[in-house]
Formats: sequence, C-alpha cells, structure tokens
Amino acid sequence: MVRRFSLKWAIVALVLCLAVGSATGFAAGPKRGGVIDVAISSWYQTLDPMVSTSGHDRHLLYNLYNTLLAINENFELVPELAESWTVIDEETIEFSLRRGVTFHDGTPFDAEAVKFNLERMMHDPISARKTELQAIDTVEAIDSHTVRLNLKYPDAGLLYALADRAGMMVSPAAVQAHSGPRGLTNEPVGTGPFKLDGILLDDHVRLVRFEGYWEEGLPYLDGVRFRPVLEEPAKVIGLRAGELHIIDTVPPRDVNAVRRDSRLRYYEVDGTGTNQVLFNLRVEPFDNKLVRQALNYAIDRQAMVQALLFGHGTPARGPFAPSRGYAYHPDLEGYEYNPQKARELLAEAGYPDGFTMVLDVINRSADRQWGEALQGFWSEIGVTVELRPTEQTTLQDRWLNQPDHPTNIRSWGAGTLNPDLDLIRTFHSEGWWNWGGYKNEQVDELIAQIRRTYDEAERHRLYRAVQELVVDDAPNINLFHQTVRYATAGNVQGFVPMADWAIRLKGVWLE
Amino acid sequence: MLVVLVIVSFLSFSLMHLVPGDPAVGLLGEDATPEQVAALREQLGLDRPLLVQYSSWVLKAIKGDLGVSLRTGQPITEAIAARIKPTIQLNIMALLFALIVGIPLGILAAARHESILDGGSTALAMVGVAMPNFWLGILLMLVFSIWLDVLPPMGYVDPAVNLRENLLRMVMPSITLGVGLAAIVTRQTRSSVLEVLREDFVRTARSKGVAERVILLRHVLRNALVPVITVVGMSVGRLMGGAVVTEFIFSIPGIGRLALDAVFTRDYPAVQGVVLIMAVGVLMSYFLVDVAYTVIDPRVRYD
Repeated sequence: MVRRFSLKWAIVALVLCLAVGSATGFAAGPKRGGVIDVAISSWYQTLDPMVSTSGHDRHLLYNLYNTLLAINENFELVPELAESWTVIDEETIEFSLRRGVTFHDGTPFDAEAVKFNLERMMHDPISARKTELQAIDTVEAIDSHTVRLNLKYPDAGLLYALADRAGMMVSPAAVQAHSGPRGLTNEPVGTGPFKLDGILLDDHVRLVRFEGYWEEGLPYLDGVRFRPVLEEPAKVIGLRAGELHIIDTVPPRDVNAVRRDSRLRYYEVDGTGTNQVLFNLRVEPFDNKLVRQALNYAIDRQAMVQALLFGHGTPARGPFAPSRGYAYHPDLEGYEYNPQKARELLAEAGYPDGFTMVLDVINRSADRQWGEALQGFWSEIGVTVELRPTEQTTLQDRWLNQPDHPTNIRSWGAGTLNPDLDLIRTFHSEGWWNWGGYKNEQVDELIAQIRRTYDEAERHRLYRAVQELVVDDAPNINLFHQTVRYATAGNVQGFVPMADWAIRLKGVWLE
Repeated sequence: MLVVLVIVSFLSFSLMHLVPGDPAVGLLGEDATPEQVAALREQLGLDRPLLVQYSSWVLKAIKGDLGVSLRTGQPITEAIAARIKPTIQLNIMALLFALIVGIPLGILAAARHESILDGGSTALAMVGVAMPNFWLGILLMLVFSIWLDVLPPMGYVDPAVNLRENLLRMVMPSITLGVGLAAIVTRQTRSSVLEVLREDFVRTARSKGVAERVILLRHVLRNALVPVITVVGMSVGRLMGGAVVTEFIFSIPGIGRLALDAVFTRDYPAVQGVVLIMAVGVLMSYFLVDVAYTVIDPRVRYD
C-alpha cells in the first residue's frame, strides 16, 4: 500500500518537475552572465568624454556612460538620461531628467550634475567639446530633475551633440576627486551599464556590470574585456579561434571567409564615413577649380569599390553618406567617370600636358591601395603622381604645421552623429579641419543658416544647396562611403550594429 | 659600458626629436587650438631647449627615475617593470628554440657533410633568415589556431596564474622570433664543427679508435661552440628588435609593444626608457657571452 502511494506521488512529482523544467528551458529569453572579449583597434586616448577625440574611445565610453539623448538604429533621437525634451522656442530647450539614476560611485544623477557637466565641457581649458556646445549661453537647473538650456542662437545640431560625447554625464564628485593633470583619463565614473574594473596597459580594459544600473535587468553580461588588437588579420583569426567574441571591423577581403563560417555571425550596415582626397588650395595647380574638377572626373569610383573594397561600399557623389538622414541627397550629380572630360578641363586650365604632383597617404595597406589606384587613373590624363606612404602622426603634423603640404587621402565622418559638425569643420573657411584653405562665402553663409534651422525639411533643402556648391568647388574628392562591418561569435546574441560604429553592449547576452 | 649607454640614449633622444609629430597634439586631438597645445607642451616640459630636456633626463635616470609617460602619466620604471616579463620570456624561449633546433641540425649537417641532409639544412637556413617575421607569425596563427585548432592565437597569461595557458600562447611567438636566429645558429654550428673536424686531435682520436659519436659530442662540440656563442650573443639585439614585431602580431603586452606605441604617440620619455633598458639588456648579454667562454673553453681566462 505504501509503495504504490509513493510510486504514484513520485510519478506526479516527476511530471511536475519535467513540466516546470521545460517551461523554463524553453523560455528563450536573454541569459544573464558571462564575460566576453571584444577586439578594438587601438588603446584608448582617454576615458573622459570631455577630452576624448579618438573615435576608438567611443566603444568604451558608450558602455561606461549614458548620454542625455541617444540614437537608435534608424539614427533617430530617443530618450536616455533625459526622459523627454521640449524645444520651448528656438533658443530654449528644456530637458526632463530620468529619476532613480545613480553614478558608479553611488552619487545621484540630477539636474545639478547635468549643469556641472555641461559647464565643464563648455569652459574647461582642455575640453574638446567646446565647439559642439558653442551655442549654449547658460544652463539652468530649474528643479532637481529639470534642466533648461538657454542658447545664444538656434542650433539644431546640439541635440545630436548631446547623444554623443558632449552629452555623456560624469559624476561631479569624481571630477572633483581627480583634479590632477591626468584627471579622469583612467578613472571613468558614469551612469552606464558597465563600470571599470581594471586595466592592463596596452593589453586590455576590464569592465564589469554596474549592479545599480537604471535600466531594469540590464546589462546581461557580467563583464567585458576590451582588447586592442592592432593587426587586422589577427582579429579575424582570434574570432575564428574562439579567442574573441566580437571584433570591431572585418577587412573587406576576409568578409567571405567570415560569412562562410557557420560558427560566426556577420553584420554589415551603411557607415557614416567618407574617404576623401584633400587638396591644398594654397598650392598650384590645386588653386584652380578646373584642375580639381578634372581630377574628380578621371576616377572610376565604382571600379575602386569593386576591386579594393570588394563591393563593401558605395561610390560617393557628395560628402555625406546615405545613412546621414536629411544630409544625404541621392540625386546629387557628383562626378561620373569621364577621362575625356577630365583631359579637356585640364587643357582649359592651362595644363594640356598634365603635371606632376605628390600624394601623401597614411602608411596602411588600404590607403596605399587607394593611392595606387588614383595614381593609375590620373596617369591616364597625363598627371604623374608621386605616392608617399607616411606614418599617421607625421602626416597629421604636416597638415597642421606645413601650409604648403601636399594632397592627401583621409577619411572623415565615420562615427560622427552630427552632420553639422562635419560640415563646419571641413568646409567652413574657419573650420579646424579645413587645412586646405578652402573659402567660399556663400558656403559659410549657408552653414550659418543650417545651424539655426530646426525644421528637418528646410534642413534637407539647405544641405542640398551647400553640397551642390561644395561638390562643384571640389576642394576635395569624395571617393566612397564604406560599410561598417562587424563579426561576432555564434553564441553572442542581442548585438545591434550601429552606423556610427560604436559597440554598445548593454543588450548583449551569451547563449 | 656607461659610455655606450650615454651614446645610445643621446642618439635615440635626438632621433625621436628629429621626427615630425607633436605628442601634445596626439593627446589633445586634431580639434585642439594652438593655445591649448602650447599650454600642454609647457605643462609637459616640452618647450624647454632640447639639451636641457636631455640633461634633465640623464640626471634623473642616474638616480633611477626614468620620468613619466606623456601618454598615461605612469612612471616609466613602473610601466617597464609591468611589461618586461613577457618580453624576457619571449626572448628566452626564442633563444632556446634557436639553440635546440639549430645546434643539432648544424652538427648533423656537418657530420653528413655534402649529403642531402646537409644541402637541405642549408636551404632551410636560408629560408629561415629571409622569412619576414610578421608573415611567418600570421601563417603559424592560421595553421595552428584555425586549421588545426590546437593553439590560442594571441594574448598573454601570467605563468604564475596559469602556466599551461602561458606556454600555449608562447609557442608560436617564440618560433616566429627564433626562426631567424635558428637559421644562423645552424649555419654557424655546421661550419665550425666542420672546421674542428679537420683538426689534428680529431684524427688522433679516430686513429685511437674512439667512436665517431663520442668524438663529435665530447671533443668537437666544446671547441666548435665558441663561435656559435659569439654569434648568439651578437644576435640578442636582433632578438629584442624582432620582439617588437612579434609582440605586435600576437598582442603580447611586452616592452616591444610599449616601444612601438611610444614611438607612434611620440611619448619621448617612454621611448628613452625602453631604449635604455634594451641597451642594458644587450650589453648584459655580451657580458654573459664572455662568461660562457670561460665555461666552455678552459683555455680562456680573464685577468
């Protein structure tokens, strides 16, 4: 009697266990736990968003800090630390801040903290964010969770700036505690999903989950190790060998191998960057617009994309890539491949027999290949190119300090959210990346107008006007826009590739 | 020895300052205004006359203070101390690889003089010397980490933490770094063994009926090794230089990587510090070579 009783209940218990087990087992939700290795391309310049100018820093910064606003996969502005915002009038914006957010050091996030951060970024002597926040006159903390920005003039780009490093909120207590010259370079204290656990210089940066993070249930991962891997083939090998979980780029020639490997996942999205050739308009013959246009016509951009990027990009007709929203105009004419017209323009400019020029490129295999391709195209119209692969820091020194520096190849805009910023710094006559000395008053005026315009349809129209001028003047050659390519291990879930290239890990989990 | 160190450090200082590029710009980024750059240069002491900068460095270095990294603010001595272990391990393992492969191969080639083995080892040696480090490194990674999947491709684990992982990760880098030296050792061993084999005492030993192998190992080797040790000693500098590339490929956090990053970011104190340490290392190896002579060849004595 007892045995049968036990057997029946044992069976019931067993069935119950199975039912419960399968219910939780089949719940295919995100799992908490695990530490992943992410390969990035260089050691960070700084972990202080106020000082950071290197694009590679953003992989770390976006995981350590939150921004006031954020962008989603469609490049639209969405709330983050600011739950909502109101453009009260053209020169006043009010932000309503999220409640219950704390910094990694336990101090509370509030309006005073926002005021502290913005004022720091606006006024600190070594702040790299001053130009992005130029339009702000004063910052007011209306109450504990409302901040008002009073602008000197309308600046629609400001909202995008607040979704990038200018909007990253650092703990005021931490800033005051680390007031030495190194400041927060290696001591980040933000509100982000991860906090800094440790560093082994030039080897890896260790982040761990911030248990007090405000987004419920996030992040899933226990921790992350960011490892700078300088050799691109080594990145792919590391991923395939199981040593790395995510890599921040896949060289075009490795894409097929990565796609074919069923243990890996491959992601490709339109990037925001443009690869360009920059002319120095102070040096003959590049002071002559016809010469610059001729060199533009002589290039077969489609061929370059096919042969050198293996198809992972689009030929550029203007400076802005397709993913840049209202800044992009698919119907811009650009320069089609027309060597005949190129020769005619050169003759008209007074160089029927061509000329000799120097082309500086960064000493990387991709840049050298582009330089060689241009060498080939231009030799067909009589222009002889002396190609000079140069180390990157040396080249930067040349751009900054040598007024007669030669033509060079550079990339631009990759990872920038705010098209206004790219427009100003490259094409405005006082732009700080305008090393070639380009000046067009009409362009300057249009740029000033754009900054004051909030209406997107109007911005779209103005961007078209300014790009038509800039493409026609051709102070540079827009070559192509590359795609952004990532690869992850097969068991990495929840990874969302973003056009601005920064790797964001809060929603990532391991199967 | 001190004179050499002074000359070396002065040369590296001068070369670094002749190269264009401003570390302050690197630190602040391209967006920096000229005023910001000037302010940082003053803060870092870069606006002083070059000779003043150099002599201030020397005076501090004599006291053991190598200054502070421009890039990170970390004391250079600390930075080097934290990263010297992997480089030393890499160099030692590469050296061992070179000796373990090179000496036996050289002896065999000499013993089987003019045979296929001899010709084959010569060809192999030539390939080894000509092969570029980084090409071999990536090739090894492909073969052992992807195709055969037996070795991890990169990184470094402290041997105190996990000896097995440490050794697994050091195999490919050691081979990459050691191949060139192995080739040199093979050739040198072969030619000096051949030379010693021609000596009278060998003929005497043979005529006494001593076994060929005993002749080789007991009598010939010790004599033949002297030039080999010379060549190895002189190659230590080469090894240290090769370590830079090898550490780069395999992502090993050693002082070679530190040197590379320091040069790219124009971190002058870091470059000076690493060059000094490497020079000391090379000088010490010459000293060890001299000591080794007395062990191998009892005829050698120093006053």
